[in-house]
Amino acid sequence: MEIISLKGINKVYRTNEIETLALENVNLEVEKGEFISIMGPSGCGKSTMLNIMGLLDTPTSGTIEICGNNIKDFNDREMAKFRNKTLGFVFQSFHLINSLNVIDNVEVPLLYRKISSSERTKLAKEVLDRVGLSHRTRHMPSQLSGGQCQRVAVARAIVGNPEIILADEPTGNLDSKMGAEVMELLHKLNKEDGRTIVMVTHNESQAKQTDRTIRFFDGRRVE
Amino acid sequence: MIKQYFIQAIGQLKQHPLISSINIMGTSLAIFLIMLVVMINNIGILSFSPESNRDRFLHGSCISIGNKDWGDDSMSSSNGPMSLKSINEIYKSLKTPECVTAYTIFPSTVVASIPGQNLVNLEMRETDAEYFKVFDYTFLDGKPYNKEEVESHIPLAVITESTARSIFGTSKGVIGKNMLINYSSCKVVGVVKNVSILAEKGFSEIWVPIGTISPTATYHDNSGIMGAFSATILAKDRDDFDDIRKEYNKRLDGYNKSLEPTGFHIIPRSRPYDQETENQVIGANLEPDVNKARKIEITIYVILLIVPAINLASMTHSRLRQRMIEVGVRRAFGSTHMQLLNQIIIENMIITLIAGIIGLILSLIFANTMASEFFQVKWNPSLTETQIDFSMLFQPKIFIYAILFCFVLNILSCGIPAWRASRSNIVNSLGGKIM
Repeated sequence: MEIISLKGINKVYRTNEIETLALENVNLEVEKGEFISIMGPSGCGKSTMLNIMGLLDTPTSGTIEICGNNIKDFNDREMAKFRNKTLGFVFQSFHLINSLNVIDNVEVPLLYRKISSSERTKLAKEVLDRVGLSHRTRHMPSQLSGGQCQRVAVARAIVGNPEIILADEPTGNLDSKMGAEVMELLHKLNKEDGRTIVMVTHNESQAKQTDRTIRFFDGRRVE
Repeated sequence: MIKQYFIQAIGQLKQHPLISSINIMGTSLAIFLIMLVVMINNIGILSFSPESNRDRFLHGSCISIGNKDWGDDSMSSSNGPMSLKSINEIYKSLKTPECVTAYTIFPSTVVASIPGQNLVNLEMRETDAEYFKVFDYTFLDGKPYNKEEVESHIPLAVITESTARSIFGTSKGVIGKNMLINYSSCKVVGVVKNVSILAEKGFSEIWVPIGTISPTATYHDNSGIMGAFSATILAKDRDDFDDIRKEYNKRLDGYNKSLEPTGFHIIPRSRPYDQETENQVIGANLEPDVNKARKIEITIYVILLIVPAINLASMTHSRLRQRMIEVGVRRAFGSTHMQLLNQIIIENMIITLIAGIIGLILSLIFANTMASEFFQVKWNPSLTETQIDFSMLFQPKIFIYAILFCFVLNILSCGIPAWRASRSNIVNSLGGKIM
């Protein structure tokens, strides 16, 4: 069963002087529970693809269907709600909020739901326990290692129980040991929870561990 | 959610201590300056002892009279305080108010002492007994003189605690003692807390029944219409003002009829004035323009808010530029434009309120220490220095003004940067790209 379906996606960046084709007629289907990786050289459009898939960016043309919903019809409010319920993001640079401690960072997605403060804390503690950081709840991001930061970011991505996790080079800023830990965590989420994961990576061996690898070159899907 | 905003606002302050300090200082100074102007503008309207009922006051400080031989009233009139006869006819006979008092328009300087001691210059006001019902003095000892004592012209005096100290060397145990006022003996019946000169109608250092010390009661001019007295009406409720004015106009018509043989008549104007209007009086022959005064006041406030807001807006903008990744993260995890806009404005409001409290405290301290330089009554016939205490300015209206200005300053300084941040492209925000 398809959980993500992208058809005829084009993305053109325009400035006053030039027009850049970032994605050209891309079609992609992702099955529910699948763990796929997207690979390609820098600037080939893989992150643009992931952003469009995550509704962080809009395509110039083409249709996006996620969990059977045609995204074209969504307004800002519906789009935000959909992202909040269905999608979880893991970024290369973690993107934790420095002025919030670990548990407050993890609670961020829950702030946009009608959930009580105690329930938010309970859910955040549960996911922090899952990523092995239950002893770091009151620490600030600046007090954590890179691997710990990324595990907090994973906890934040899954706290709202989204069906899809989109990870943009989640191990890109980590050493190999920490990278392996994060990959293990993502695989665990895929296998145990059945979450669909789409991961952009430059790491061939990590890509090989996923169900399927999609390759991009010059804005086009090549494999 | 609000708790999170609060945590984050404080977190932001801690993260950038220098920028935060400058921001808070700038906002504090802006609020300080504007609150000082608010206090100066409002000291004549705010209620404080002994004028705690200013919201229920209607004043008849002066009258304007014309004469058939003087020509057009707008060209020629005589203006000033009233005789007791005029006050009795048009004010004291009113039935609608709770109370009406007559008193000398200004305190006069007298010499006071006890036999064998040096003379002291003090301010004295002559009043009726109702004066102490309309104005609420804090009696430290004794009580005010009553109606019978006033009518009997018994030489009694209510004095302030500082007067008691300068005459008797103490403010305690002076009730029943005699003192000399302009060389006439007077018995002290009450000691009250000192009164600020900013309580224009209530200020004095000695109060005596009308006509006991000086011949003021018999002084009159223009066929006995004008004299040395003013009247203040204490309404039961502000809603009664219209009814009181209607009744006043009826009394005035009747009084004018009785004055016809003299050729004089009282020009109605829109008296009696409420406290705000009375505060705008610049001459007894001129009708105060409250609307114009309000417009000027609002214009001053707007200028005082916009100038710092422009400076603070650039600071807010630069702080938000440093938070663009956070903006992107929040949008990615489900925040709508509006939620993000609210968050930024509320966070900024928390900082503005902290700064506002500092600014308000600074303005109260400054007003208190520099009172004589900043706070003046319109007509001050005495050399008494202006005194202010916190209770005069520590009032709900001042707090409402402070919160209102904080809110407006917040919207002006962070509204546009917040709106731009909330509308920025998510991918650009995540890339830390500026708005």
